[in-house]
Amino acid sequence: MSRGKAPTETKTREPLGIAAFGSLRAEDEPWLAQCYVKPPDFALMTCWRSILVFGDEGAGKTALGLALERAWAPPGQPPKALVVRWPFAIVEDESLKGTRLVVAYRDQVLDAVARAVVDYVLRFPPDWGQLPPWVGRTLAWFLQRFLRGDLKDHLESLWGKFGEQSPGWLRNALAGPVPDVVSPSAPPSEVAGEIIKALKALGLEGIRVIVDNLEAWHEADPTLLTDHLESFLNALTEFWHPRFVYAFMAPSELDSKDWSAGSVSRRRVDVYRLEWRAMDLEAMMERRLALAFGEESFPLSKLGPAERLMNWLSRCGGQSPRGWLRMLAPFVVRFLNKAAETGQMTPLTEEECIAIQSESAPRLSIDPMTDAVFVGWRKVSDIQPADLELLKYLYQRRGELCPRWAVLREYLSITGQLFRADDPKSERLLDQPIYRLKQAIEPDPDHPVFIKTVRGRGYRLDNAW
Amino acid sequence: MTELGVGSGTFAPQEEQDEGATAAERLLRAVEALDASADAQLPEYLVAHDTFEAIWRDEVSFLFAPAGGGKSAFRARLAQACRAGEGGRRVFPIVYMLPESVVLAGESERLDAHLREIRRAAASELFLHLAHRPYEFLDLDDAAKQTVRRLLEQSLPQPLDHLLEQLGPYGGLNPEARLRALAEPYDPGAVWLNPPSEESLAKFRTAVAETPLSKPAEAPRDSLEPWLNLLLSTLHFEAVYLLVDGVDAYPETISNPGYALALIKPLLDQAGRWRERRLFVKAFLPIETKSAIQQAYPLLTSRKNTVIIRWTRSLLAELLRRRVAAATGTEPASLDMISEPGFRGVDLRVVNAVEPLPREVLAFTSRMLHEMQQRTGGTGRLSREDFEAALRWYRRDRHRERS
Repeated sequence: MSRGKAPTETKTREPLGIAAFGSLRAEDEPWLAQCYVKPPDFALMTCWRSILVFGDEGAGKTALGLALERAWAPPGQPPKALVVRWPFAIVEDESLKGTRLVVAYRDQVLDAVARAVVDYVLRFPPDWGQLPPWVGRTLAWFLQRFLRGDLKDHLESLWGKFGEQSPGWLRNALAGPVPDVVSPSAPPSEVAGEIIKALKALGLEGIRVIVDNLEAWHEADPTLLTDHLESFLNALTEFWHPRFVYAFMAPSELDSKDWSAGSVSRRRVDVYRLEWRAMDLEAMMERRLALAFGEESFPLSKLGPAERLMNWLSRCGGQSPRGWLRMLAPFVVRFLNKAAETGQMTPLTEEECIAIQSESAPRLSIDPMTDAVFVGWRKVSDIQPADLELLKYLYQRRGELCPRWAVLREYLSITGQLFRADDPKSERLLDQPIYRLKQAIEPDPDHPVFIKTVRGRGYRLDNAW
Repeated sequence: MTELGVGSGTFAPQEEQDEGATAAERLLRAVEALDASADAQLPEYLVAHDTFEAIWRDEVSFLFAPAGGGKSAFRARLAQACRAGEGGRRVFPIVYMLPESVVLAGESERLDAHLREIRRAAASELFLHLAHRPYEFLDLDDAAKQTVRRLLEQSLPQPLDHLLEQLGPYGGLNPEARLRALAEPYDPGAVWLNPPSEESLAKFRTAVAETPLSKPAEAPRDSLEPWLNLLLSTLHFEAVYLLVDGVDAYPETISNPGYALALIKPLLDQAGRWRERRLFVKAFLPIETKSAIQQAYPLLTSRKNTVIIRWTRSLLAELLRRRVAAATGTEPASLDMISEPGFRGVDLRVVNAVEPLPREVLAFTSRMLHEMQQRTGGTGRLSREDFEAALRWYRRDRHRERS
């Protein structure tokens, strides 16, 4: 569990309180680096290889992208590589296919690289006097050729930002005439090679492009995104340079695509699934708790009964960091309130936790297309077919009291059994399937939040969408 | 280097285990890239010598293999043999990755596009060759120097002055590193033995810069003739090999191998004529294109001109052992030498676990080493546990691709 230890710091931090569980959007959490837990393959992901990372919503793709960025460009230090955020946008020109389509995407990439070069030069102004002239000339040529939009606009924006302090080299690079450094008809690999040579002269190892906005495009048109992404990935060879690599953060739905041709099967691109083990998720929660309470470490047992909390989190949060954080947040709120009332940080009791579970139950849903059952962020996979049919029956009547006889009649119909009024066992035929369903879906079968038994009358499915 | 106990039945004490871990790290770094064509150690571990012998001769050659089957590795190996002058031969290689401009060109423009890009690749190769062997340029008479300069000026992807500047010192890089940076966009794995000294590189820069530009020769710009004259007659290369690769690197050719034939047809149409001029096409092609090409070019693709790479398990195990040897500098070598005492026969276990292709063997090995690093922090030895973890990863990876 060495990965689970909180980062060691000598001084006590300012507690973030519930804000540590507030936004749940990595890009809005400036403290993320202090509590980030790396996925098992993180070291492999930081190699000079292009990667395609699939992850569910809330699996931490954005957080991973930020962690990779920190690895390549540590805050407060000169970066090891030029880190480029590519704001991927679907090319909507339907006339572009195959390589022409790839060229259109490459223009987007090169524009993003050019912007990153501008940003780098502003943040880490090179000592041009110490560099051979070809370096500045190459960078200026690159900006003029690949920065999209009106160069005058870029110049004005620089003036607006920096005024007289605007770096002279950059102004000249954007305004002055620059000879071609690579012939306009030369292969794109020559372009990549030329800019990387110049970046190496500045002390950078190469270019790392991060793409982390595919989810929105996937929601808009999954087929189009898949086709275009495949074309782009398959053509990586043409624009290939050992020091020009990509990190794509992609929704897990794309993982179902057949990638048996092209760059993925040729291992030009390494594929990872962003999946978390319970021990990693536990470590994440404990680091967040430490931030929330301003302590160096904060094991779950300081919040409440650790076994109950872990059980609750794994049965409602699935493998999703966001799910775990959401499901833990109500306990943190109660803990803070209790501490404010008593003036002491004492762990929540079993009874208090059970009450919170009841008040903050996750939602149960069934996908009408696939019959997949979800409890919070967890996909339930261990329901027997007949039990699933019974659950669907209750789900169709969610929130309603279903008389016991009607539920029993439905179950007998599902299983092809006959009701025998003279057999007392018939009355008890529902006990086992209801028990199994509770075991499968309830976060705590002893204190059910979904299948409620109304004594002497029947069953009601609560907290279902 | 400390003996690691391979084959001796003994196992290294602590210091040697540390050295074993270092060997593992070296190997991990070596196999990480998975791209043999960009691997300078390639000649040290690429096996299947009969395949190499079949293409290392003055004849048109076709080498067919599946993706991951070593096409680019053999292309890189052939280029390195040319550059190193293996067997005392003097062959000029032109590494010709099918360029985008050919894919985008219309059918009627395709031959011109090919010729333009071949000249470009030839110019890159010649510039790098002469920069590594400055005396070859310095020993030329003035007229020949002028011809070299003119052809370079006409065909290099970058302005000649710009490249000459990059030969000069910067960033604390020595001549070898600066030349490697120059070669990367053209051929990332390119290696020339005995790189020049700072002094001779400076002489080359000055001599090229001071060579006046000659008037263009009368040969049409769209032909390779001036290049062949220069390479064969003036620079005394005995042959020129055009190494055609990267045919399956485009969305169009991945989805339709037949289209690949259409793209290289203008080259193959010229191959017979070029052979007479000692320019030999060496095509490294996906296996899917084989029957179409054999049907269209039955004479060119005679049995002796055609090689199909077939990997056997024992050949792959040999490749893996040689890869370990090249990375660790130990001979003979095996993954056993960086494995725990109770875990033996690792090379064969690996090649039996994966699809029989070099890339798959190296990917599996890379993963296994990574698992060991994760488990031990990088100081341990490969164990059965690492192998099993890599196997789980591999099976899931392959399953994902096929699902």
